[in-house]
Amino acid sequence: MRTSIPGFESISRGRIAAGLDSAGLSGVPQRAWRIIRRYPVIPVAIVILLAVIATFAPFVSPKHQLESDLAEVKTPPAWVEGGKFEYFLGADHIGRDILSRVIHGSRISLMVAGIVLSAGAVVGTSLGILAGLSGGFWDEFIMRLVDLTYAVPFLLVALVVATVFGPSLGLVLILLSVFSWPGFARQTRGLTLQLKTTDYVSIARIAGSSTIRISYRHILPGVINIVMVLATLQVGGLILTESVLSFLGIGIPAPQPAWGSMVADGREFIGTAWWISVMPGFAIFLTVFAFNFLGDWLRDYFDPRLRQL
Amino acid sequence: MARFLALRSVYMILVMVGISILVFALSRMSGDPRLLYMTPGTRWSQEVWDARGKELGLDRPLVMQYLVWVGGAVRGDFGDSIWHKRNSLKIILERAPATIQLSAIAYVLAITLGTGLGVASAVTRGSMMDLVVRSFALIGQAAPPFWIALVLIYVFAVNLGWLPTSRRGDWTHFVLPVTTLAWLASAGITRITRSALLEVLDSEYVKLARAKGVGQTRIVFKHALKNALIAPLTVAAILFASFITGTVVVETVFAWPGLGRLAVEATLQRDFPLVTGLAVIFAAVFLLSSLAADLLYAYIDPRIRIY
Repeated sequence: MRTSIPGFESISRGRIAAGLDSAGLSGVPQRAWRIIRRYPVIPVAIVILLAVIATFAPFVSPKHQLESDLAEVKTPPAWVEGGKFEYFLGADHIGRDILSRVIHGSRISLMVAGIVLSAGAVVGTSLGILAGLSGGFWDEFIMRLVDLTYAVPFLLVALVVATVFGPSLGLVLILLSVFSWPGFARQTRGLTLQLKTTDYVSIARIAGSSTIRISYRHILPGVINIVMVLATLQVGGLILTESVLSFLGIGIPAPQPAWGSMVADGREFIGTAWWISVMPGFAIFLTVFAFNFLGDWLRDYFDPRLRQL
Repeated sequence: MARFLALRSVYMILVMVGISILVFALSRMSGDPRLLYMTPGTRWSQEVWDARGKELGLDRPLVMQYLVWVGGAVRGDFGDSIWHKRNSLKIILERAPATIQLSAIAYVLAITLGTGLGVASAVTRGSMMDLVVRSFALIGQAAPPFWIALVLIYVFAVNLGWLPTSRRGDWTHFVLPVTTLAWLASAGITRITRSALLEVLDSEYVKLARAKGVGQTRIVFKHALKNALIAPLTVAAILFASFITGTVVVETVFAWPGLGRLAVEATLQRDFPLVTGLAVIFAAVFLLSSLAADLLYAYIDPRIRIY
């Protein structure tokens, strides 16, 4: 169905498609569909579910995450022939319950993301505000440091560091933190430069406020939204990066149920027991998807001009 | 332009110096560098210990040690690999073609696929096509690359038996690794192309062209595309960065005998000279590609003035 006015073609097509989506629905389902289209209901639900599962991991997981039962080696998931309900997502190559390990793995992923982002956001925001407010040497110094961090490929540093010290949780946290602050610094500096010229900051300065007081009373409230959006946008990438490190064997060390290393465990059994790799990988995918979607939505909600973030 | 190139070269050298200091400091932080060369569980006699110390220049001041190490590195001498007991650079050069082959094919595919799909979905905004393309991009950005690779192996190699599971060989061996790498890389390009083209299609000059009666095809390809492709092209130039991560993961999963797998093996064997050699070479490639990205950016869009 082509409209004869070329200019309106793409627009009208969009409208028709949007109309088709809710066609055939009425009343409550239609209203529900409209809400799902407008608000990130599903991603928020996934994130809340994850948070609950991670917090209460020892209580919700059916078995202990490290306990192995040799009678259950490679038991398939419940819905596959030969599967058992007690091992709902199946058991791995040494008979550990995959569901319990995935549940405990959520703790590791969320903890890594939480700690790294707190460190990155606090350091990055402080340095960004400092650079924007003080200008001159400190501004130049901090911004060159940001450029330098961007210029160094993360994975190479991770490989070298892992060679020297051997893999550990502490190293993963430090490495990711070192590479997460520049994004915050760059954005808050830009905003600080704008806010610095506003009247209320000038008046505060005339009234005798110190630079430190100005930064936390007058600048910080203006940048906090961006910091939150940036943090949400970074969660997905951080969880992905941590999983890559763990998959390669240079992240969280072995017996701990990190999602990435669980996928690596199942690599050689992909022909005989696909669930060992596929289940934890799917958990990573769902989590990253939810956070990415939420981050995009938050960004568009707070400020559509930030599309480039 | 000359000034820009000069500034950038100085900056690149500074970054390389920074990286080399970092690597050197790390090698000394872990304790006596001789320990890195020792097979765990063995002991050296005092004479061997001293002789190795002299050989590595450990009897000289730290600054001199650094300069000796950098002097070697600049000439491509990173020391003998501990595991392979051969010159690190030689091993790296042997493994390089496999990686270059794989990533070159994946790179071309990623760019054509990324821009093509991006244009297709922007032009048919809101349609089924758009939905499919956006899901493709969404999965590429949210799914871990090693997981995509394993699922592809499970479906196409294990179940259907169409393609080999791993290693290098004839063209069938390329399909799965290239698909994984290209999917990963094209996801970002697709999203950027789509939003850039939508923005341009909404601009005043496109509206004017429409008002003059120019057809949709002509508008997209003749008027809009040139401006819309600036953003994805610059992304394409810095794509090498994500290719470092990509090849490391993909080569590990598919047992591909290239540099990425070498890097992981060397790390797990704690083969320090080999890891540093790889890191320095990868870093240099990365810096050169970001320089190329900046130059390309300025060349395509004259409105952007560099320095």
